[in-house]
Amino acid sequence: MSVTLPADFGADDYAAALTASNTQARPLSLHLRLPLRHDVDARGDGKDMDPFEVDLARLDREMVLVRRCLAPERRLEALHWGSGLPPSLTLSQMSGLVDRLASRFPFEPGRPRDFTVELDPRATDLLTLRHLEALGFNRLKLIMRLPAAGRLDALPRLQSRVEPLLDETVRMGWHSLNLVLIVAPTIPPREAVAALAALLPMTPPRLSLRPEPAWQEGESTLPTALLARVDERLAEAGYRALGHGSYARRGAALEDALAQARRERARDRLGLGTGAISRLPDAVACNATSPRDYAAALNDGRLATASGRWRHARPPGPGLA
Amino acid sequence: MPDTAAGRRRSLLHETRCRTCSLSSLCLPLALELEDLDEFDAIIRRRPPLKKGESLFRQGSPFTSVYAVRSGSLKQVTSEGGGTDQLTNFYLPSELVGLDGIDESSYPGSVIALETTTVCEIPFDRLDALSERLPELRAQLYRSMSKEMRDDRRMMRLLSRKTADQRLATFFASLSDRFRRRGYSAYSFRLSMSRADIGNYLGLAVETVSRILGRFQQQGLVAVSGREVNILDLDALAELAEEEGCR
Repeated sequence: MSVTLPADFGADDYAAALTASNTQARPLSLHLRLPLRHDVDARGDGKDMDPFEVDLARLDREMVLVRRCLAPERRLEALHWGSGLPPSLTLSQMSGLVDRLASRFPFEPGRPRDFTVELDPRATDLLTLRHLEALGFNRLKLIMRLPAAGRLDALPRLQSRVEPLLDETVRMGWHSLNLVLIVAPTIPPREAVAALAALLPMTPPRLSLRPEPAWQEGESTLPTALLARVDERLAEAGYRALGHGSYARRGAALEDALAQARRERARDRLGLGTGAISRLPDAVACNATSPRDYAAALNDGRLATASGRWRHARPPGPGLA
Repeated sequence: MPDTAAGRRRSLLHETRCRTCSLSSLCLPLALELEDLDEFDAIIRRRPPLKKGESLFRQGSPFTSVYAVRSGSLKQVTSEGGGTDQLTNFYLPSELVGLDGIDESSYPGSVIALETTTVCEIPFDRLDALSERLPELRAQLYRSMSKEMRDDRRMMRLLSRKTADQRLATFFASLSDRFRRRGYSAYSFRLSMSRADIGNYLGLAVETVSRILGRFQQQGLVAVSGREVNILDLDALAELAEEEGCR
């Protein structure tokens, strides 16, 4: 999805689209972008407050504003917790955040649950993974930079971090592990494919390639020439391309990826946090990408929508509500 | 034994050891006849009680004895390279400590009292010699070793296959069963170990242990106040502990 959306779509439009989504009342998929801000100024006046508490309070305000537009019976089925590199939350803070999310968006019991967390393998240990499992997560994305061909000596160290996490997700019965490789724009396709090939012995169930620096946006805009080479190499290794730089190993991993994608298409996606993207039946909306703007909007008691577009032509007049 | 007042006192004291110990039906003398019991009793060394935090023995020290816990509880801690300590066992009354030192003639982990604890020291060379003559004693020793192996395999399965919730449920169900077999309440007991110890033993962060304890309380499985544990639904806890596979 492109994040370049018209800026004349604002918070009122997003609120109207949220309200309109109650007609179909599809299950909810929450996409949380962390960290919520990157600079101290955006924390506001609470200089003596714990920055995490400030973030949490602001996120809670956003959840309240979103929830206000949604019918009370609408439940959460999926959670995507995108984190920055490196992750900055303690285990207790992770618990606090999940509790807050659950209080505003009750999880749907008895339904397929897709709770994904993105982590940096260099800063993740087995205890963290087990804690996240206890919080309900069942899908893992490990985010790492694809080393340049000249730096392949760094691979064994990286593999020694990734492999125990991969094994643990299998042991704990997590539904998927996606190795997300961030590709520097300067890396020549031949070198990128060589580095990728060196990672294949780990046989991750899923692989994704994302361009640096916009790796968080969810879809690949990698050069076509590079993607063609990667498609070819991964097909040889037993992977099928799912589009946008994503791949799944043929067999159970592929079936799971396709089933998850089908479920996700049937949900309304709600983005929370700076730059988070929401996708509703009638509209696509994007939050302010600047932490300062995001904070200012919520401090004023309004949604932090900075841009968006209606999916269909709308009749003239006030909002859809 | 001379028939003097002092001798009678010594004899009485001697008799109170295994014959009158409430744990003898669970401990090594389980299958011994009364006359054999005296022989077994004679090789036991009494030790002063260990205070909380005091070591029974240190990792790597020469193996000389096994120990039967009479009261209190202990933990076994194995130090790995890089300064990492792994908690590998908890010992409750009637359980034997130190059997894993026989093979390499040294103790593979340090054993530390979790509270004021009394143990009976059984020098292994004398136990070995006595069990040559008392087949029932040898059989009970084998059973203790077999139980330890079975517990180790159960622990391996727990660490390799179970979720955090299942690990903690298994821990409580196991503790409940161990207390029940010792004649204590299966539903109400006090944890002598800290949450950090429990987490270390189960391969979980202390935050995860606290989180799951909170969840178990919400689900009505247990009530926890400090270190006091009340098991409210043992069947459900056991069912969760036995579950295989995950979410």
